[in-house]
Amino acid sequence: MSAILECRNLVKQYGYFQALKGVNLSIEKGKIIGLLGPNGSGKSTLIKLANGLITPTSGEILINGKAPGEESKKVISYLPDKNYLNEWMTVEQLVGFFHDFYEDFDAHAALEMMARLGVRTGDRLKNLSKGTKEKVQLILVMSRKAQLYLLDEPIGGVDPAARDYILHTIISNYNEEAAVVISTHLISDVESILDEVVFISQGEIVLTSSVDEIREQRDQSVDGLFREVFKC
Amino acid sequence: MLKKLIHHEFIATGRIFLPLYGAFLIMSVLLRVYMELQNAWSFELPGWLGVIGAVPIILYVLLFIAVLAATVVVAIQRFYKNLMTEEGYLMFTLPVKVHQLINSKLLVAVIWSIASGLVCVASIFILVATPDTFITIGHWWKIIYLSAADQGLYLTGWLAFELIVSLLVGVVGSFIMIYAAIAATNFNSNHKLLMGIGAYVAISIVLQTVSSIVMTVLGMTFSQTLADMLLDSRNYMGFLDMTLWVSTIMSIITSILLYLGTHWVLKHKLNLN
Amino acid sequence: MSWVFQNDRPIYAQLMEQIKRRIISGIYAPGEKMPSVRDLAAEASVNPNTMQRAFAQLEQEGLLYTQRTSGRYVTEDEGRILQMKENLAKELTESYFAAMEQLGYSRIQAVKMIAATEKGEKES
Repeated sequence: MSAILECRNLVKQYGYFQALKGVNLSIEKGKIIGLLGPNGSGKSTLIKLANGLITPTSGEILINGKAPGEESKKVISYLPDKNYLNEWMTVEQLVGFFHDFYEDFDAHAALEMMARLGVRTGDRLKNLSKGTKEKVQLILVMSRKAQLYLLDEPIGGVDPAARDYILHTIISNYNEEAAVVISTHLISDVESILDEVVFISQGEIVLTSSVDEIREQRDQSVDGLFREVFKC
Repeated sequence: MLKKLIHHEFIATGRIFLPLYGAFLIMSVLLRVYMELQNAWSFELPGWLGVIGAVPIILYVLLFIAVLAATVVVAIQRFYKNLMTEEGYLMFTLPVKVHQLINSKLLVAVIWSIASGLVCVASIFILVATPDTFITIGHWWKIIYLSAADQGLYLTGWLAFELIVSLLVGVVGSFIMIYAAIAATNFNSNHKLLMGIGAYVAISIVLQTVSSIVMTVLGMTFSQTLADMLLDSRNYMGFLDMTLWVSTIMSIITSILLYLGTHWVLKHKLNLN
Repeated sequence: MSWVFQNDRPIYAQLMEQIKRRIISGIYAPGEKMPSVRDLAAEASVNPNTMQRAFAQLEQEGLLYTQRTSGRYVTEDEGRILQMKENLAKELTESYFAAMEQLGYSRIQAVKMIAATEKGEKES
């Protein structure tokens, strides 16, 4: 199977600080992958590089074999770890915006999910609660039929009910032809929906494995292994 | 895609400009009514109440300044906030080309500048127009035209065209210069404001130095021709023509260079934090 | 019945067990159509691939079968389900004995304990 995302000796340097120290990674379609690491380990940097929001210092990052560009942006659906949508826009306008620019966006499905959550589509984003805002962002991102979903901390700072809703949305919306990368440090929350995990620490990949493998061979959960690997 | 970007850019900027234009034009009407009433009844507020009498004028002037300032401030804000901050996460992950992003912002900024200019002219008309305003203007135009022609200056349609082109090039160029300075903030994440202002000043200095060098060199090279032109009053037009075109072409060249620089930074050196 | 997972074993194995329990208790009746992989995965909050793996294993064990066009069904072989039920009951009993043994009870004492508890509950 061909890799949708591939990194070759990927380095990203900020001044004297190396955020990524030569990462080699290959992610295939049809899998949900957890990009797991403590805060500041390089998770967001990796995801931003894949989106072309920052440029590599050296090495390569390839989407479908090509450097990030107009083509890769058509097939990547990205959820940043911050509020990145225009605050003055209404939910309806945002749905229209996504519909205008992404051919694979299903406006009908998005509006349906918004309605189910009780989001009033006439409301401006700035009038929504933090949790609702995050859900709106996730619904927009998951309403695309993308080949690669890059979700940066999708469950950071939401209550358990919202977390369940978010995971449910991810599982029921992703298609089998796609890969989903979920970056998080809250492992026990996402563990059951992952196929594979990538542990990243201080800009280096320290482990890649399937979840079942970890449980079968080490008799422990990914969360347990994570706590062991990243013990302070 | 460019069309869609422009469409959304208009929505994002129109919500600021349209109410502002509305308020400004309404204020113009109110001020006109106020002045007419003052004329008709020839009242004057005594003592410190006179200050209140100045309020409509102050409000009008403030709105006038706001309309002009908004064309620049909104252009800066739309380029900086929409592309270089969190909102850039959305804009730079859209399946569009970088030059489409720049072009949509540039085109919309230029259109609002023209609109602001027209609104200002309209406002002045509202303030001072009388039934015979156009006749008065025609009258003055004739006087100006004749006395200019007397000096060897012919205010032709061609000259108007040249002036409009050079004005347009100037407006487009100044927005591109602002964009280039904003793009430069990308290189220093800690002192963005300082970086932006510094880049703007640096670009201005470089452009001014280059243009004065070019002008001097041209002036010296063609000193004989120029002297001939200036001495012979019949050649004023030729001189004006040439200066206008030289400065316009130089402005076009620098704008293209700055545009390419901005594009290069956003395409190959982007570093959003 | 809600889906709960322990930390120390693969999730697909736990899914298999819990689906088996549902078949035994009749939540999924013999011959009934199973929910789709995606729906059940969403319900249990697990990865669809993991659910797929559990289904495939259950199919191999003969508890589920696939009809090419219309989906996946619970086996109609009630004897097979009964056998599975007995296996599960045996396992539970064994684990009861094992736990009692750790407390120092012999098997006979353990059986007496069951009888006594049953009687006590009836009297009260």
